[in-house]
Amino acid sequence: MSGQADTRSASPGAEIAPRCRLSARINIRLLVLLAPISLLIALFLILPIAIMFNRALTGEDVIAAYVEVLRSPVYTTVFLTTLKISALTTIITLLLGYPVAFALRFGRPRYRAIVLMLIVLPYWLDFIVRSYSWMILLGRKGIVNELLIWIGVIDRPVKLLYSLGSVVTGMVQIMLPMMILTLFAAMLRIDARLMDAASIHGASRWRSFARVFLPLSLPGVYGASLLVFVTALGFYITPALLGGTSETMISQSMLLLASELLDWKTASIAGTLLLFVTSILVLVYNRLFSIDRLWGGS
Amino acid sequence: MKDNEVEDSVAILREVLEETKGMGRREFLSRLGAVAASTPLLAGVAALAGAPGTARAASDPVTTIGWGGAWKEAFEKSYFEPFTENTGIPIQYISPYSFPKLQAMHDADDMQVDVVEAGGLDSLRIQKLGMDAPLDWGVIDKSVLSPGQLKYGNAIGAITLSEVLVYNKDKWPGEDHPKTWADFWDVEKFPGPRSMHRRVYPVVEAALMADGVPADREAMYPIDFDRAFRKLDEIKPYIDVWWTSGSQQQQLIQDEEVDLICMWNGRASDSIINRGANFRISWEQALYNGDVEAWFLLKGAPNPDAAMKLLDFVGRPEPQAVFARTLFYGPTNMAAYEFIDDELARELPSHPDNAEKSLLMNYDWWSENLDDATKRFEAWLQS
Repeated sequence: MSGQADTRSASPGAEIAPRCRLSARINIRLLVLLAPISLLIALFLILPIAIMFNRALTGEDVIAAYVEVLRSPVYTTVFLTTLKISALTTIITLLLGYPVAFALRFGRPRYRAIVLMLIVLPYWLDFIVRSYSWMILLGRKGIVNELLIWIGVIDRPVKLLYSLGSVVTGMVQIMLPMMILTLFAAMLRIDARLMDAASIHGASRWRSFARVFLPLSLPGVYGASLLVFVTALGFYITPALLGGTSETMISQSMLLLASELLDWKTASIAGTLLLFVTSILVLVYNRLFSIDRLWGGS
Repeated sequence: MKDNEVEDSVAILREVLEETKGMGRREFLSRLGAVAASTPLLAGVAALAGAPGTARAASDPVTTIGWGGAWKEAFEKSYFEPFTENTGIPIQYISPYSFPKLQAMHDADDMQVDVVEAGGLDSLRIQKLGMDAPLDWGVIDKSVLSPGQLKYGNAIGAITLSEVLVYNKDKWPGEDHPKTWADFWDVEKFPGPRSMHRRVYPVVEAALMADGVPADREAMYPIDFDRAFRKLDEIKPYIDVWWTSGSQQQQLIQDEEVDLICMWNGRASDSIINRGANFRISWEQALYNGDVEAWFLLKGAPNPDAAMKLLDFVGRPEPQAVFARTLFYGPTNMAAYEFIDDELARELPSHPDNAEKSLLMNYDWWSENLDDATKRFEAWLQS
C-alpha cells in the first residue's frame, strides 16, 4: 500500500530510486512468504529426488543397469501401459470435463454453486474408497451386471472389472474434478463480451463458440490436460485394485522392486527414467502448445 | 525379584480362554474386553506406592511396527492390551508395516522400533542383515515355549499361515468339490472364475503340485521353473484376478467375484465365519509357512528392557490362543491348542491334521532365489 503511494507521489525525476526500494522490499517480503514452502519442498521433495538420482546414477555398472531395465520386456511394457492409460484418462476427462466447465462458465451463480459443490464432493473421499465403490458397481454380481441381466440385455454376467475399461473409468472419475476446475478457472478469464461481439457481427452461436471461445480456451485445455496426464502417470491404487495384469502401471513395478525385492537401485532407475520421460514430454508439449502462458510466461 | 506381571496377564487370559472355549468370536472378544476393563493396573498401583523402576517402565512405551487394520486389532487383543494391563508398559504401534523402513533405520544407526513380528522372508532378512539383537533368557522363560519357536536362537516363534484352496460352496455343495491344485487347474470339471496371489511364491509351488509334484519339501525344492511356468501357461487365461492385498482377497469371495481362489487361510476364515461368505477351505496341499515367522528384538532398540518383557509374553500359549481365535492364524506354541475348541483348531494351519497334508514352504531357498524368480513371474504376467 505504502509502496504504491510512494511511486505515485514521486516526481518523474526521482522515479528510479523509489522503484528500486519498492522491489527490494517486495523481494524480502516474497522471500519471507516463500521460505516455509521452499524449505518444505527442499527437504521433502528435492532432497529425496536427489538421493534417488544419486542411487540411480552412481555405483558400478550404472550403464549396464539402465540397459537391463530398458531391455527388460517387463519395464518397457509397463512404461508403455502407463503412458497409454494416462493418455486415455486425459482425453476422456477432457471430453467429459469441457462441457461441464463451459456450462459452469455461463451458468447462473446459484446453479454454479450447486454444480461446483457436486464436482468437489467426491474429492473428499479417499482413493481406495472410490476404487472399491467401482468394484461393487462393476463386479460379477455387481449392480451394473445385475441390472443388465434384469433388463435382459445379457443373460450371464460380463467381465467389466480387471480390464483397461475399469481402470480408465476409475481414474477418469478421480481426475475429473481436477480437469473441470482447471478448465473453469481458465474459462473465467475469457471475456464473455467477445462472444456477444461475434453474435453482433452475425455469427451463429456455434460459430462464435468455435471461432472465438474455443481458441481462447485452448491454453486452459492444454494446461489442464497436462496436469491430469502427469498426475495420472503416478497412479497406484486404482490400477492395482481395478486392473488386471495387463494394466500394470510403473508405480506398481517400483513398489514391488522397493518393498518386496528391496532392490532400491532398480526402483530408483525406474523412477529416474519416469521423471526423465515426463520432463521430455512436458518440454515438447510446451514447445507445441506454450502452456506456460497459463502461469504468466511468454 | 522375578516379576509376576507377565504371569498375571497369562493367568487372566487362561481363565477367559477356558471360560469361553467354543464360543463365537464376538462373545469371546466382548468377554475379553470386560475382563481387561475390570482388572486394576497392577503396575500403576505399584508406581503410586513409590516402587522404583516400575514407574519409569510405565512411562516408556515399547515400539512395534505392523500391518494395521485387522492385524492391529488382533495384536492388541491378544498381546498388547493384556501385557500393558499388568506391566503398565504401553505399546506404541506404527503402521503400515514396511521392511525397507526398518532397514533404513538400521542402516542409519537410528533404530526407533523395539520389537517386530516379521513374516516369511523378512525373518530371514533380519538375521542376514544383522538387525536382530540377542535375547535375555533370564527374562524370557524358555520352558513355556515349543521347540519350533526357538529355531532361530534370537527370536520367538510367532504365528503360522497357509495359502489354501478356497471354493464356492453354492457351486459345489457336495463331496465332489475342488480339493487339490490339480482340481484348481481342471477348468472343465470345475468351471468358474479364479484368482491367485500376484507373487511368485507360492504360485509356482501350486503349479508344480498341479503337475504332479507331491506336497513334499524334498521333492519340491529346488523349484523347476520351466516346468512350473509351462503349467502356469495352462491356467493363466482362467485367472481373472491376481490379488495383491488381504482385504482384496476377502472382497473377491464375499462379492462372489470368483469361485476358486488361492488365499490366506485367516482371511478366508474371517470371511466364512464372520462375514457369511459361503465358501470352504480345502486343506489338501495347503502352502504352509511353518515356523518361519518370529518376533525379533531389533539391534539398537530404544527400550530393550521393556521389550524383553513383551517378548517373554508373546510366545506363550495363552496370547497365541487369543490371536488364533481372533484372526485364525495358527499358533507356533502347540500348547495353545488346549485353549482352542476342536472345530476351530481344524481351521488352523499348524493343526497336525492340516500340517500333515500341507507343503512346508522352504523360505531359506526362496530368500536366495526370489529376485530372478519375481522378475520372471512379472514378465510372464505381462506377456
